[in-house]
Amino acid sequence: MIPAAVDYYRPESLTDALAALATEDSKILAGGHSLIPLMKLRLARPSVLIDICRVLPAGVQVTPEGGARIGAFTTWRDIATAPGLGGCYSALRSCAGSIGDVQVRNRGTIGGGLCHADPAADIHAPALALGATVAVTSAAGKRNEQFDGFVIGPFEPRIGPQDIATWVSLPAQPPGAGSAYEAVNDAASGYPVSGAAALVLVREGRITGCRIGLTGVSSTPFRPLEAEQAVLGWNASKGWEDLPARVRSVCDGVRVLADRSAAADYRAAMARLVTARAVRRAYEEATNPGGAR
Amino acid sequence: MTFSDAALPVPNTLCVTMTVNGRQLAAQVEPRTLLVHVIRESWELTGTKIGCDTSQCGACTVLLDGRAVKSCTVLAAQADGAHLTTIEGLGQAGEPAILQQFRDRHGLQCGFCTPGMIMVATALIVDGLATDEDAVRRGLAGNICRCTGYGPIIQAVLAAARASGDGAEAAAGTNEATAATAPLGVAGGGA
Repeated sequence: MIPAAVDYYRPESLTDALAALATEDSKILAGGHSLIPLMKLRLARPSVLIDICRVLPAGVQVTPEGGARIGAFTTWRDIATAPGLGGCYSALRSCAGSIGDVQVRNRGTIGGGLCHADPAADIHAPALALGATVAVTSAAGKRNEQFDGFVIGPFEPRIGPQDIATWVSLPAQPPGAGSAYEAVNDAASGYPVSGAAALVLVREGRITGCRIGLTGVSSTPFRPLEAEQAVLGWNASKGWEDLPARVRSVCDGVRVLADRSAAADYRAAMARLVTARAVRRAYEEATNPGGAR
Repeated sequence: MTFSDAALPVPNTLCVTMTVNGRQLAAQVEPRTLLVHVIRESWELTGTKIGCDTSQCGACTVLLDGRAVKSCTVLAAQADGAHLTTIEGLGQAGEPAILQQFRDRHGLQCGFCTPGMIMVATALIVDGLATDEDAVRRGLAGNICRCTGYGPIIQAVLAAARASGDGAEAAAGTNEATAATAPLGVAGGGA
């Protein structure tokens, strides 16, 4: 399969990239591992590809304030192997290491993954749970977008076609925070039937704070706010088997997807399962960093 | 503009240059041209296969600046200036352990997936990720053998990792290029 005819432009500066984006039907090309397959199927037919490989930052920085900053052009492989992303950022690191396969992780980028806004993208779960912010540059200037609410529909990010995501920032977390990502994947496609990331804060053995992000479950990623509350107060003496009951509300009020890889009730059951697993492993990361792996 | 130019639209083309298996090669391509098509058709390196053509099967795997990629999902334009290693580039410096082990352990049936398997296995060994059977299975997740002969393939990768001066040790270093040239006989790999 061969994409439809297209022009190709590789700008040397962000200014040139922004200028080129003014062309009608132009499209940003990052790793290309979502866009190029769509172009081969002719589901996407941009007039010009703007390859931003030379203008976007790549790499992971742990900032002095304790947060982390990830260049939009950083590959999944480089996130999965970044030394600074343990502890409270473990959900991001383990998620990045589980996306697609070795070859996909060598090319796919976090900026591309977030902006492609595939409802089943693994990355959305840790981005929600960890409170990610996306730095966006356009001809009008720079701004920050909270990832919570960034995906407004399938393949529909809140940013426009003339915006470029440049950085992904994760806020600092207090001591005693841990996070984890768990998914049940479709065997053929590798995409999650349900994927959950959890960030928990543990004080004196008890969960005192919790954020959960779910992906693959509905047409947009979401936070199950009731389940986040229900997890508070849990401690190891209550037993792991108590967790699935606490998070049973994760899909309440959500329209759960049904497709050939999973019926809605199965997908909802998997959402409860992976949420409980993610909370458990996040708790282990918080109380015994690195030991949970 | 001459009359013939107006009558026959000429597609936009661009010139890409890569170091392919240690040799400098160039090709005039359309922007939409996929890397695998340049490799097979312009440069006639037909060891790299097109299997599914949908980023699933890994038969088209090559090393782009030392990293395993599916060349059906990379534009030739994106690889401009890169170092490329294809299956033909292995063994230029003596037979690498990975080829010997695939042969000795019969790590193939029909052979169509073999070049892709060997290229991804090469990267796994250099990166120190071929440490045990589970790791090799995860590392080969992007490569499909439709004869389903995975057992001998995995054993061949594990044996090659051991034979390559202890894959784990060689890989502890981070310099892919250095590690790639010696035990695996990779020419032109790495950045």
